[in-house]
Amino acid sequence: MQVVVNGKEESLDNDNIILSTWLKDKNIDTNGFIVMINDEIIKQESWQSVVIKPSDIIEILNFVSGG
Amino acid sequence: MDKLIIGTHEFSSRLLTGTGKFSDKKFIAPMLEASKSEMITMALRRVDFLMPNENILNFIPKDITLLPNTSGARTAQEAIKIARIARASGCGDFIKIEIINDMKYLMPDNEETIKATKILAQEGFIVMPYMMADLVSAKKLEEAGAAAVMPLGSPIGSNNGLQTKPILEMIIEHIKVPVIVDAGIGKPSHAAEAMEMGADAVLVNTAIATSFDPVKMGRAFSLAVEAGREAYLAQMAKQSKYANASSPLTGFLHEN
Repeated sequence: MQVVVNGKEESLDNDNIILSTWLKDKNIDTNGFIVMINDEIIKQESWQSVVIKPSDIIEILNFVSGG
Repeated sequence: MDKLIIGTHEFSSRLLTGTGKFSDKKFIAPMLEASKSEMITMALRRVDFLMPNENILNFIPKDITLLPNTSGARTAQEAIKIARIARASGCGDFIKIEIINDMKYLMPDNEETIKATKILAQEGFIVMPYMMADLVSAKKLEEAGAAAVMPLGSPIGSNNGLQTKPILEMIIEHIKVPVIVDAGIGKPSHAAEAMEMGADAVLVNTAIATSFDPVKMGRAFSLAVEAGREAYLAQMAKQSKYANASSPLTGFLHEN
């Protein structure tokens, strides 16, 4: 299925992937990540229950240095 | 030093700092300690999966008040979106509005900033807008519910000091909420100058972060801010074109 991740089209192998599984597959430290799907913030405790669906618009953000 | 009050919060330090541009983020915590700064800015960005940035919150001690900024926003709408995300992520109610669409001088867009301030203040944010030094805009920001106004001294990161000084003086004279000079302060004497003029606080990032010793520089800024504030409260002596002897001139050597 096709989703949009941080403004870029991304092809996922399977439909209906669990958010936490998808993040785990990215192989990066997700500490401090803010996840939004279709403009809604997904709290970390829900990452294991939320399912990514076709055409979802996913934003992965974090706090960085800035003045 | 007398307390700085922003919204309903009280601060002992009148020096706000930023987390940008440190060669090593490990300097941030000792810099905060040395500078006594109690509030620090940070930004929100999309994660780059190939080169993820470290979570800046890991480098900020828990007792420090977080001031997320809306940098990257070009419109009021974008700034509002960033503010809402920042608050929903548990960063508190403070937000530094920064709306910029001029990439050469990084001049803030006051018109969009006023719009964003109004909406976010209604939503209960403690809004601290970064603004071009302009009295009319400052008044509109105050009316819109800003908890402080943050006019620039000179362009962000330029270290050029208080190029907007005459306008800053007008803003300080007419605006009731705290006036925090943000951007352009390049050395402690600039910070002291702003505080002597009656600014309520200063926000310093580049000048500390990119100095050779950010921890020592943090302390230098703390001393300057404190000196400037005390001088302002002490009400400075008048300036004069001519000399005014400090010692009695009634001499006994040349008297006939």
